[in-house]
Amino acid sequence: MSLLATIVVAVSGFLLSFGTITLSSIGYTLLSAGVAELPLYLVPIKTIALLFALRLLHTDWGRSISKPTVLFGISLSIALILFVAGGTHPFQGSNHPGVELVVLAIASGAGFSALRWMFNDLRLAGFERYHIEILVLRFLRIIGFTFIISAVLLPLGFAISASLMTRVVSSQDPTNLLPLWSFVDADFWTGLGRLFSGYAAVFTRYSFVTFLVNSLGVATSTVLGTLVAGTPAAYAVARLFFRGRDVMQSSIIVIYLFPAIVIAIPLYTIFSMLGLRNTHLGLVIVYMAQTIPVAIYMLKNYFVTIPWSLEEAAMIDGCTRGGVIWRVTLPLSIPALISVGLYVFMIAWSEFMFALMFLDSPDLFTVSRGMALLDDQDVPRQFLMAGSVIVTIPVLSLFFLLDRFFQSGLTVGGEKG
Amino acid sequence: MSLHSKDARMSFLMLTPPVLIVFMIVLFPILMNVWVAFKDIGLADLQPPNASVRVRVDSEEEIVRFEVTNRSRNPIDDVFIEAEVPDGIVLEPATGECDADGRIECQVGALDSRDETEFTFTIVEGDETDILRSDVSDPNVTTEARHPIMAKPFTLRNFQRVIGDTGFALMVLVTISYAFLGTAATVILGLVTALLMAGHFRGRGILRGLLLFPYVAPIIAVTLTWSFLLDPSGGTVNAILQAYGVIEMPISFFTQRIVEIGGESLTIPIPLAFVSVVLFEGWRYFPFAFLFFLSRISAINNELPEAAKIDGAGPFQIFWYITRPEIVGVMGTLFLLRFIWTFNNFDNIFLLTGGAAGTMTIPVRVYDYGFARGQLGMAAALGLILFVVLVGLLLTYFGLSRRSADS
Repeated sequence: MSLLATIVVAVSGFLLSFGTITLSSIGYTLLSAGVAELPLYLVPIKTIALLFALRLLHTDWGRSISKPTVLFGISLSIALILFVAGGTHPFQGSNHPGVELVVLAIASGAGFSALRWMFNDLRLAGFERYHIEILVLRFLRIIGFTFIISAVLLPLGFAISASLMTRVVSSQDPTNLLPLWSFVDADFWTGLGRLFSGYAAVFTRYSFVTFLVNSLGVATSTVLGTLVAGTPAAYAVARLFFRGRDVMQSSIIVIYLFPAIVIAIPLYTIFSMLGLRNTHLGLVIVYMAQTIPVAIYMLKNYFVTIPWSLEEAAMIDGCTRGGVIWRVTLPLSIPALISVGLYVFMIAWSEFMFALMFLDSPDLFTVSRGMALLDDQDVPRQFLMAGSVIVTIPVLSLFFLLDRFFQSGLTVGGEKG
Repeated sequence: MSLHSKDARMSFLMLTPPVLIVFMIVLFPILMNVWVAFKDIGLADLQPPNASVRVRVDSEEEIVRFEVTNRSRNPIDDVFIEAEVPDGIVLEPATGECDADGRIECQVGALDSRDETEFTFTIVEGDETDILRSDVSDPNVTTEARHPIMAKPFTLRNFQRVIGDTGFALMVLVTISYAFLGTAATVILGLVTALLMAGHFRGRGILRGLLLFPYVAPIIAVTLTWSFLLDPSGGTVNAILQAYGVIEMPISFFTQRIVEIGGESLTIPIPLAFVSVVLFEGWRYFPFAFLFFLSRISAINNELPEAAKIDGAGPFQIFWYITRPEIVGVMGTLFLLRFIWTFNNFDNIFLLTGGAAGTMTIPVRVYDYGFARGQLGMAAALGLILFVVLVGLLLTYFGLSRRSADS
């Protein structure tokens, strides 16, 4: 199987190294300003780095695989890299060779540690199907992680970067994502001030503070309302006996079937008549109605896992049913309550459609509605991206802070969207 | 009192508030939607119809003139005007339907849409400013008008107009394929991520939190980000692709309906904007699918794959015989949930393309009818069609899965 092993080693080594260099060059282009000719001196540097990395690799599996195989694999890798990279060299611009070297070092390091991880603790002496499968899987994992992480990081990084670039800077070179401009010809503190000027502008020039306060009020009221209305109902479904309990349980999820847009049109009519349109109260009621079914479903699933004997013991000791709920069930359910609250907060904080249709006055706008308003006017991209970052921070940080509660919450509840 | 009847009474108390809220906000509007769908109602009909009165004082002729107008689109009945006449002012009705003995009372009767009528009173005592300052100048108007939602006749016109509208068939097709392909993209990406994230490694917690970003960020923030990122004029993605010579002209991902790829002999038309919104859907919701799968994969008993490994099973065999059956079990539920949500989704396409360039789905058009054109009846009719199509698809799905389970 040594030929197969060689080919696997060579091809994966080549793909990873080449992929690394391509990625790092894209990264470099993003970081550097401008696209220019490639300085030739970098070619030998890269080749040396690559050879060094392959040498590292060699020590890892050299003991268990024959020397000719290794040599053949390495030379095949280098040949392939030179063949593909030789014509169009990935690094295209170099106004800052220092930055390029740093980027190259980081990218190469990442690529080569990925390579090492791929071949880690594999006894390649008896190279069998099992090893090949492991190798292929590890290779796919590296590719998969790179893809998924960049799919998430690229927009996130772009949003942050674009919020730090003025219109002039971003239009000069759209590929540049590194906001170094603000520190050119300025001392550190002035530069820092210029860097965050977009954030200052959304707070002072547009009524973003109002939007944030509105969203916070609406979201917190929705969380409280949903929990207060949903918790007793969930308890009833989980613990009490009444006719129609099964119907109740199944109809909770059926509510999901109804399209929000279909509800919105008649609700617009009804709320107009009742004077609830263009009020926060109306919005909170709508959000509560949307989240209560899920809240009941999630809490009920949690309540049934609490041992009945605990509640029974409290009742024998003379507690009423209400006392049992308050003193036994609720204290035991705090994780579930937090997870439900988090889910409800996320929905109410970000909801767009009902806020768009029901709110008219800008001083009542929630963040989503307010951002749509800013998007309509000719507001620079820098400010809109600063706004996007600001509205994302609360939800994302809540999920980070309450990490251990969220996972079950999200999967059971999901989002109505 | 038995424990059960006590339970029943208590659960009634506990269940009433949420059931009431959900009924009022979800079920009642759905029923009302069916009602409105069969009536020709526009946004303008929402103003409760009433007559408006303008009061003018003509001091030369010494008369007060009441001009009564019905500005609404609908006829109104039994219009009645009343106002207190304060001391020091005495008015004498010049026309028949009114009474001015201490207080003005006018029986106007029925008024057709856009109709107006007039009453005059002779001023016996009092001057102009006193009258204008008094209650007389702001009389109380009551009518017996029925709201147009009740009064208008039932009709099928909304359905005829909606189905006869240009691009109806394409819109239904786009809605179904958007839901199907968007869900497929979500599920596949989510599954791949879950398989990658299974097991323990350093930085897993942080990575998991990071991967939630597309899903938990407010929709407007991520749609804005992607529109700027893919912007044909000065967007980063287009700039990079151009810098590397991949493309010559910038691509407008969200506004170009068709792009043709391929050489001279064979060109394949790609519905670009549609593909873009489908991929966005996959990007936005894959974390949901990922968490869904991950909780399933984590629940697999760890001894099973270990035992299989000892027996000589390779990683692919372990995946195929141990992980795959577990995943298939939740795949159906996940696909169904996401399909329903994607099918009903309004925000994403509205914010990314506004329904232009071959991405018009039913929910976006419902909004278009209701708010851009003010045709609530047509919006309700299309909403009803949306619901019926969804239920039809679901029934087909359940029918098919039952048949495959039977055979």
